[in-house]
Amino acid sequence: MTADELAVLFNRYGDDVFRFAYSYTRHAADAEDVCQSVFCRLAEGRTELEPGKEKSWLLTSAANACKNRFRFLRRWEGLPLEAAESVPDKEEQAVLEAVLSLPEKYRAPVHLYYYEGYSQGEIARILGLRLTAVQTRMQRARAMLKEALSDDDSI
Amino acid sequence: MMTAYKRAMDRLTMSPVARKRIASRLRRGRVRRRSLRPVLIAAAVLALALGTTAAAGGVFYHDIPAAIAQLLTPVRLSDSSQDIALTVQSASVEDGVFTAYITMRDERDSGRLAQGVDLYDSYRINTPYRTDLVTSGCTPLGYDEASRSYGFLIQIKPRDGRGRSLDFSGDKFTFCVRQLLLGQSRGQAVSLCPDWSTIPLFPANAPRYILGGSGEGVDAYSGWLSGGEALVLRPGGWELPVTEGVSVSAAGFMEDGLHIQLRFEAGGPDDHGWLDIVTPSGETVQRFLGLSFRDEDGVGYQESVYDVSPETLPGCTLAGEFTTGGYLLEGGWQVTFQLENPNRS
Repeated sequence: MTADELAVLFNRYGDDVFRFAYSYTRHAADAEDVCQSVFCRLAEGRTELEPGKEKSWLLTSAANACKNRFRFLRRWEGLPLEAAESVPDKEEQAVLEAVLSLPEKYRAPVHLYYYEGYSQGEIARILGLRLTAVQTRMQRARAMLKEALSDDDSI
Repeated sequence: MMTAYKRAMDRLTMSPVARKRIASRLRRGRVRRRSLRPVLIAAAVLALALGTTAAAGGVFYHDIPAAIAQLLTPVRLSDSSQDIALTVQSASVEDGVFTAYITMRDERDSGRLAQGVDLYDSYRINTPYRTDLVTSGCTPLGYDEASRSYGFLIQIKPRDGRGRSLDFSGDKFTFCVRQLLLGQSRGQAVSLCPDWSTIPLFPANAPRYILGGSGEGVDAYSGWLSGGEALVLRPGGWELPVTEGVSVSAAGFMEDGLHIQLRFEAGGPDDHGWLDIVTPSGETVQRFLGLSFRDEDGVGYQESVYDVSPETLPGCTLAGEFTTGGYLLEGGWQVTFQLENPNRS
């Protein structure tokens, strides 16, 4: 992949990878590091991206990078929700805080489902999980969000 | 609600500094990285095929596969204990496999064996070989009303230190049994239509010392704690009678799937059974993990984990088979005999 092609991909999907990594890490600097490692890995030239599937590859790579970092950096779980605090809209703030307060294993499927719009099957492929595991995590995440957001029926 | 999440997330972007840094690195072109050669570990599987060729004779009260029956040579040596006669009816040695057809006959005619006999892992086949090089199996052949006997087929395979079969013609074998498990209610088939809508998504759990685990997921189970303990469901919350002496004592979704916990209250020495989830289209979902444990009162539990999600459960049923009850009959049966390999030159 040429430098120009990489630049196009980064401009198109850089923020998506960053947001996904942020939903995982809840820490902007860590999410940026994950984002950098994902695109640098692509720049190593060992991966041929399948046309049309660039984004899902990038998100899978980001999920793996997050998991690897999470293994060593347990600090993520105790971080204050800096992003939620900076959101001006009250409803958005509450929802963002509720999602980012979910245990780590639930945040990634929720983000991919509600933000990226992936199906549960696609999420299973991206995260390397069984479909039933994704379905169960989504059910449990919805139940936790419903409770956190006072029985919001739109979840 | 979740559109609010999307709007909030859209506000999040990388810092200009990070964006510039990453873009700059990518502009430099291909990143060089020292590669690590993956180490591949190959596992070899040795399959043993047993062939049978010779023919012999014998008296059979039970159904024995023809390929085995034709090899068996009459032995007819007996021992009796508790008015139950153990007889080695016939045996064979072929291609390094020793096979014995064994019957147990109730001399009291009390019907003690009619419900089935389990040797309860108390049988031993003593051979001149190192026990760690001998593999053996015992297949129940069922009860024959006419002869009032219960049959077994025993097969053993001694191997040398390199895994090669041995020619054990002329060697002596001793077959002995210490206990019989009698009077079990076997093969109780069950079919249940539970109300899945009440299955807890966050069931209460508790650590328990695990007596035994089975299934492909046993090592990967996320609930293992130190000291042989694991997290299992706390009984209660979702209960369902299954069959006499057996009930579902809890169920719920944990990290690795749907847990269904069975409580065995029949108090038999070897109560056991299983439940499968049967989908509306007839597919069977078997458990991928099973854990056994006991509570403070000694009641046995078996917890099974299934790879299903909450949304796939409506319309599913539970089906299974259970063996419960019975009692142990202590005794001592022992028969020693010698076999010649008819093919040996």
